[in-house]
Amino acid sequence: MKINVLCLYYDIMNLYGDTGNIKVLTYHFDEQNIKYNIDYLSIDDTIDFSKYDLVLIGSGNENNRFICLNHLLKYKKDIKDAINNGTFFLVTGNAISMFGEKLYDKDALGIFKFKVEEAKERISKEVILENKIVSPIYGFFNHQDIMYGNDNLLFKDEGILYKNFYGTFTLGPLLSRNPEFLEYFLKKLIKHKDKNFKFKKINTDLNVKAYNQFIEFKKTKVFNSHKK
Amino acid sequence: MKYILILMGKIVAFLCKLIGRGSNFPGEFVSIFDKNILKKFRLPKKVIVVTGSSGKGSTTRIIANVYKMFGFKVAYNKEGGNQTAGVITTLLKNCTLGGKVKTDVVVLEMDERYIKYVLPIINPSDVVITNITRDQPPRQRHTDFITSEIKKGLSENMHLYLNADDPGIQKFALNVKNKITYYGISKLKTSYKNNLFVALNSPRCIKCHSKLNYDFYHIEDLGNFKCSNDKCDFKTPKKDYEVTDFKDKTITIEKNKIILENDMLYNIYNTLAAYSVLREAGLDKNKICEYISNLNKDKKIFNRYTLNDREVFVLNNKCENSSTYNQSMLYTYNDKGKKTIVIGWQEISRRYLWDELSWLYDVQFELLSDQDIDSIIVAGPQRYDIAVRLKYAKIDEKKIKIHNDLYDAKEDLLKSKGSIYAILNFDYVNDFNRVMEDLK
Repeated sequence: MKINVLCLYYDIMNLYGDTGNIKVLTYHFDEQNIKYNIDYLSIDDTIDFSKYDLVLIGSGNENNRFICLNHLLKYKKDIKDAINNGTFFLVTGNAISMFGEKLYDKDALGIFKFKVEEAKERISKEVILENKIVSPIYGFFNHQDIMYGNDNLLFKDEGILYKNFYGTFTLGPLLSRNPEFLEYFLKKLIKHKDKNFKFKKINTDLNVKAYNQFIEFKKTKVFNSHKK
Repeated sequence: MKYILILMGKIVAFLCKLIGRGSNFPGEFVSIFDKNILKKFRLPKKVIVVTGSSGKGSTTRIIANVYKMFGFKVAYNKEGGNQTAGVITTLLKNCTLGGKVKTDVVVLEMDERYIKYVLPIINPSDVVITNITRDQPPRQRHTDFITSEIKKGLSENMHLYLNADDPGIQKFALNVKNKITYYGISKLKTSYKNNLFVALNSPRCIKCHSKLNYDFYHIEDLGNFKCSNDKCDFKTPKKDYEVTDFKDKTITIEKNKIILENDMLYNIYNTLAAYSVLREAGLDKNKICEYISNLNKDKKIFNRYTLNDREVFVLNNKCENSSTYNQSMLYTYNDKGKKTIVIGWQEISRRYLWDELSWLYDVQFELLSDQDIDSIIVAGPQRYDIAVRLKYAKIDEKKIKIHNDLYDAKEDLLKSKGSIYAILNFDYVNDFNRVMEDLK
């Protein structure tokens, strides 16, 4: 088994540490003795979406995102086919807005039914996202989009889940910070490739400690600031 | 009214000085009575503003002090208030009751986000933009946004000073008529050919979005660049002031030598920026070099000492600013000996309650993985998050020692081997030095 990964727009859609998710996945592929190949492609490349088991796209600034959307539009049908054929997508930060029908006043990829308008104020905050899959997701938002008409939510009130397409406004190191989600995603991805794959222990000991410590820390931090 | 207000402001500034606080309060106070107070000052011809994501404080300090050593009277926001109120406070302290600023020169360090409010009013003669790097993302969004915010405050008559080695900063030179002075560093022993970092700030050509080619890098995306598109002319601009050599904390510029405060790369750029401004003001180059060196000679060095025959380097960083940590990564990378690394901070941000961690994945911790590392000691509230990041940088988990705080880490520090590189947020430096004192 060999997993083919596309890290798309690795250079200009990596605004908030988003390619960190690649580091996480390759670490665990190595740990499970799984062979993999990663293609780093960007706006001057031709893309064959049918080649990949997993496509990752991260956050970008507003200009770069439109440059990427422009580049992606010619692959509209290929992307739709890939998603329907079960290709995994992990889309973090404001990249998910490219997959709706409208991004501000521009036509977007039209894969999903939602529309995205520009928010008056930047949405920049720490988030804890309840969901049906795993323990709450700890993350951060830093974008300026408001999504309307999205009915494929990944987490509570947020994100996109459709077949193996996972999208969230949570930026950057989503996988490293949320060990349960990491394990869930990793197992789904690998089992999709090989139903009978025998997993070795997925080492997330440090990640779990970081997750728990962060929760504890936030309790005291809020408490201290109230005292002030 | 103006006279009374300025008098009141001066009294408030004096009282603030007595209690040793208030680089902003006098400015805030007078603004309550007159929102347009900034317009009431008459400034000298030479007004120098320094802004950017990092290095603005040091650059301002060098410019102001060297001017003073030349015998000029200088107003500058030494106490650090670098937003609108801080500027007003500085001017209040240095003006007549009529609002005339009495000094020969005004030198202001300014927050990037306040440039657009202040510059159109004070209309500076010279503007230095040190760099625009990833910095405090929850507040600053991204470099594109900060660049456009600064641009709103600039006008044609301002003399700009830009780092020629920085492709992203050239956005300030695109389609403008300003006089621009470029400074940069020629190829040094520490320059490298194959990129060690991910281009974070300017991954592509700012004109045509093609990839950039480099003859050599100094760090991150700083170096000698040229657009890969034959039809595009974007490349490192010709440098007006160039550092041609760098060794033993000493740089060579226009054949003169300047002794630096420390041997971190950012220090060269800060000094170069200040040097360029002083030279363009027509000041004597030999004297400038002598004065800057004297400033640094007098400084007590806190960032390098020995502990029981081991070398200790204390590297100052800013959380949420990956470039500062990347400088430290490169600094340790250039020492091929055995070493112990310490990483930590007290607070990610003093400005907000949120704890943003994405920038940890912009720091090239991977550079540590092929060094001769004895152990890496991580400490502070996000110690496990740092450890996770190190794990994904392919660092052996057994080498990572996790501690609540630096005091907790004493035993591991004593047991560790090799030089000690402490890569710390500025709020952990005092704690670290105290621990080191205890261990002596």
